[in-house]
Amino acid sequence: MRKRTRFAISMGLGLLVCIFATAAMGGEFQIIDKSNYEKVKGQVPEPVLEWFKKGDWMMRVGELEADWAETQPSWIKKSRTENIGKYTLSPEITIVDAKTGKAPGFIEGIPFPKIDPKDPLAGAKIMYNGNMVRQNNGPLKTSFRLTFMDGKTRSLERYILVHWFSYAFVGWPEASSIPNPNNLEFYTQVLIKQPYDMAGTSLMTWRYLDNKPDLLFGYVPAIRRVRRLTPAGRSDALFGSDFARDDGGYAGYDGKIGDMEWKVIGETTILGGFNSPKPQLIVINDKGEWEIQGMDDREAHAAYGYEEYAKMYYKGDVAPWCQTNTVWTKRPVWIVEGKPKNPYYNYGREIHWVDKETFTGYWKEIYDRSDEYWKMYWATWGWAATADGKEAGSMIISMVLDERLQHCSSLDSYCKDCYYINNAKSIDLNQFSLAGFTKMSK
Amino acid sequence: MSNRRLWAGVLWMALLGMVLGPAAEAAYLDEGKTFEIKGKIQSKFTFKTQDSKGWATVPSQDPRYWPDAPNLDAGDMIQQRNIAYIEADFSPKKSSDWELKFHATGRFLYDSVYETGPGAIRAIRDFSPEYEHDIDEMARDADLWEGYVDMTNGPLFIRVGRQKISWGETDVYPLLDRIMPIDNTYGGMFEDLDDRRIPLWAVRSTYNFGQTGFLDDLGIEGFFEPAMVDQQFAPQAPWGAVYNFPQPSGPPQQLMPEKPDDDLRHSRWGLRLQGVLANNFNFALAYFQSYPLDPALKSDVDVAKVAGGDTRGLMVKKYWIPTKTAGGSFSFFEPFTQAIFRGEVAYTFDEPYFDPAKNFKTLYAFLGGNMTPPESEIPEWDVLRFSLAFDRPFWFRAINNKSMINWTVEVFNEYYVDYDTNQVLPAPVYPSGDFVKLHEWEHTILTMFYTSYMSGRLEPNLTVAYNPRGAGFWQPSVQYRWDPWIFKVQYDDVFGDKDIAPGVLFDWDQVSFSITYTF
Repeated sequence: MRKRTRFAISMGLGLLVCIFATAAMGGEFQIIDKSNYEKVKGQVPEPVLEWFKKGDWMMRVGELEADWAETQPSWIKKSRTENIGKYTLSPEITIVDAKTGKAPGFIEGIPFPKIDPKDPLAGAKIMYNGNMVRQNNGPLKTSFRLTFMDGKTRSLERYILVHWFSYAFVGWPEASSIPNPNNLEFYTQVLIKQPYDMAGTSLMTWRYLDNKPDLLFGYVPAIRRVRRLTPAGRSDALFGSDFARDDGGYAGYDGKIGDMEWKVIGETTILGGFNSPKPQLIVINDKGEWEIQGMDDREAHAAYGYEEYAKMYYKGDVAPWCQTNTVWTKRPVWIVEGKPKNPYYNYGREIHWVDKETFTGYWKEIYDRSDEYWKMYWATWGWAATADGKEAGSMIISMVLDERLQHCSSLDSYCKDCYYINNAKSIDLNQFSLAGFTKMSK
Repeated sequence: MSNRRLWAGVLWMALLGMVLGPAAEAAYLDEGKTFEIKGKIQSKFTFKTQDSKGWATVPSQDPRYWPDAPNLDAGDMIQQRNIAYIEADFSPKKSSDWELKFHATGRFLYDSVYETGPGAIRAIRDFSPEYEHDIDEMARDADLWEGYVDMTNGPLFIRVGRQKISWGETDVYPLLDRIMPIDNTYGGMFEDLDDRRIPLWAVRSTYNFGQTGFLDDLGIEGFFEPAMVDQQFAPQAPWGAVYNFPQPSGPPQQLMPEKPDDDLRHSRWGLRLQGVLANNFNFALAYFQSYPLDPALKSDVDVAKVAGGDTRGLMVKKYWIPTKTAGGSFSFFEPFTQAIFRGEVAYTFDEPYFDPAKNFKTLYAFLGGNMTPPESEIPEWDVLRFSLAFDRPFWFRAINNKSMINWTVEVFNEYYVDYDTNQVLPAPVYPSGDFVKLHEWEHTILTMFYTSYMSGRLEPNLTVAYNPRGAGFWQPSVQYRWDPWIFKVQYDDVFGDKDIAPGVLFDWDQVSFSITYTF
């Protein structure tokens, strides 16, 4: 064979090898699975290594195309300097003005941007920041699927379609002009739309800035009335899922911060999950609301292991809750331990991994009351920005895996009937009254 | 093939077809997702678990006009009900300050037991053309069950059309929740309360005042069901219907009630204030006019007809008489017990009651030989009803380490103002025929347990109600969900003294199986 021909064939073969190798690596990402998971030891919680070993899990590890810390609203970024030293915590673990010791009324951005790990209140401050990141997104209108997945059959079991409305009185700048005589932190409403027999069931929460317990209301279609619910049920299963009602929020805990004892037990670099390496588009509508585009776009969806679509990203067999298209990237985190003060709380301690820059949570190990490991919570992040990049916001997919039952639930706003609107100013506050709550249910 | 069998067949085929179909979900008919269709189709089979005792074993007093009561055995099917609800919602995009939403629910009902059930039940329908008509009227229905438009503008909400209106805090036994009529022909007291409510053609409106003075939340609600628009009343089960109240077969003839005339004074209406106080106390104050759950009874005699040998001249007429009720409710969270405590009170003015000497004056006088008997009366009294309850979910990890067990205890009390020992329930006790006695105070203790397993797919439930004088019922059930199907088994058991409510239904024990397809 002539030399030039041999060279051409070699180059061509080499190119083909590169193409296939790149495809196997998922493009610019490194694929971590059962064959090479030791590479991420120390970058994921220990139980996740077991997932790799069992062949349930894989990760696409790589870099994001933008700085995650920059994809927060401008007022959060501003508060990273302006709020340093402005606030502290009272003995009841409520936020107070550092100078006066009184409740501040309104807080813009995050209250504790600078964390000293030696501060005994550091853990609580980190968790407050995490919860405040969600309030900083302003009123929120979204829908999500609460999806149930079974590890034994490796399949989707069922889902519940839920509409979510929340209205924060702190965090986002325009909240400062909204009268708040009841000293509320936020309202939320969760309304089930499907399946039919659960449709109309809804929950409403009034959370206060001080240490008053939440006011919880439930609307039960079967009896056609609003019923008060006890806040003692925060560790009860949410609509039968693997989530407890407190498994949520932007740092992995959606309860009152003062109901737990928090402690910083370390700091490290962890792999945090992102739905895409680049942000989706925010379109600001005529009401000034931030409509995130593409929530019903299949390309933006998580590719769950039970779906055929997931094989586009990874051909191996994985657990149904493994999102094969998630991008995992290294993030600096605080490790925060929480222990419930309520002796009847169904969880024992929790260990949270919370981003040091954005105070968004990635993982939570959950232990039972006998201090045996029980569940893993993790969040993967969607993010969006306006075309000019001036404003940005985030969306969350939350997952909880019950290791004992090998059963997983996810809360996911990416679905064909889903939408996501931050800064949803068209939400009428009357909706969160008793009369408004009854009206929206059935 | 009769239309009804065809109808049943179509429903069954639809159900069978869905077995092989994909998991269904509510459908949006347009890209903008403003028009949604959803619903359910259910088939229910109910069987007696004990032989008929009591009046069902007594032959008809006059078989020319009244059939024998259905005397059934344990294992006999007593209900084969097929029901479908189809719901449509249209929420157009908001183009003004007003937000609109349109809703319609169609209900299709067919109970085939009167044509496919045991001979004793079929014999009722086959007794005469009049019985066939009355049974068919009850056993099949196709109706616009709900149909309304919602209009919202800020704090103001208005709903116009056929709708359900439910006030109060109680479970199972209604105190303030006596606005809508209840259809007890639909499986009696063992059926889900919401399935038995009959929607009203009404206007309802709420106005939210929000935080007002020392109140954290305050709203006002009013409704009006004009008498001249299709006013709704509880249907009465025809004689021989499975869930007709136990009584001897024969005279006096119970005439189906006449609706009151279309006078505006006969309308249902009501006003309610509700709010939150001190960030913890829910309260409501209500005043409304509605109708009792059962009609008032008054005997009458067509002397000439009876003299001619037709015992149908001995009659009991049923009247709907409006009553006014004032009351309120409250609920609050108690941190030491971690429970929700709630209470409700309802004072009903001039509620009709039953005193045989007054309500059956005509009948007794005639049977005593008086050929010009005096007219009967409908006496009235005031009734005070109140309840106290708590709801307390708790962990019992040995039984369920993933979901709490929800526990409710409610104590219901009735006090009859101006009580005397002549007042009774119009329910004859077997075999004496004496009416069930009422006491000045009547109490019922209710407890309920509910939890879930298998990630919410399996839901056991237990309800127990007990009158401390010695009668009650208990109702365990289990529901299993395999989306889009729901399977449910429920057992209903009445126990205790026959002459105390609910013990008068002592041979009504039953087990039911239902299968529901949702979409």
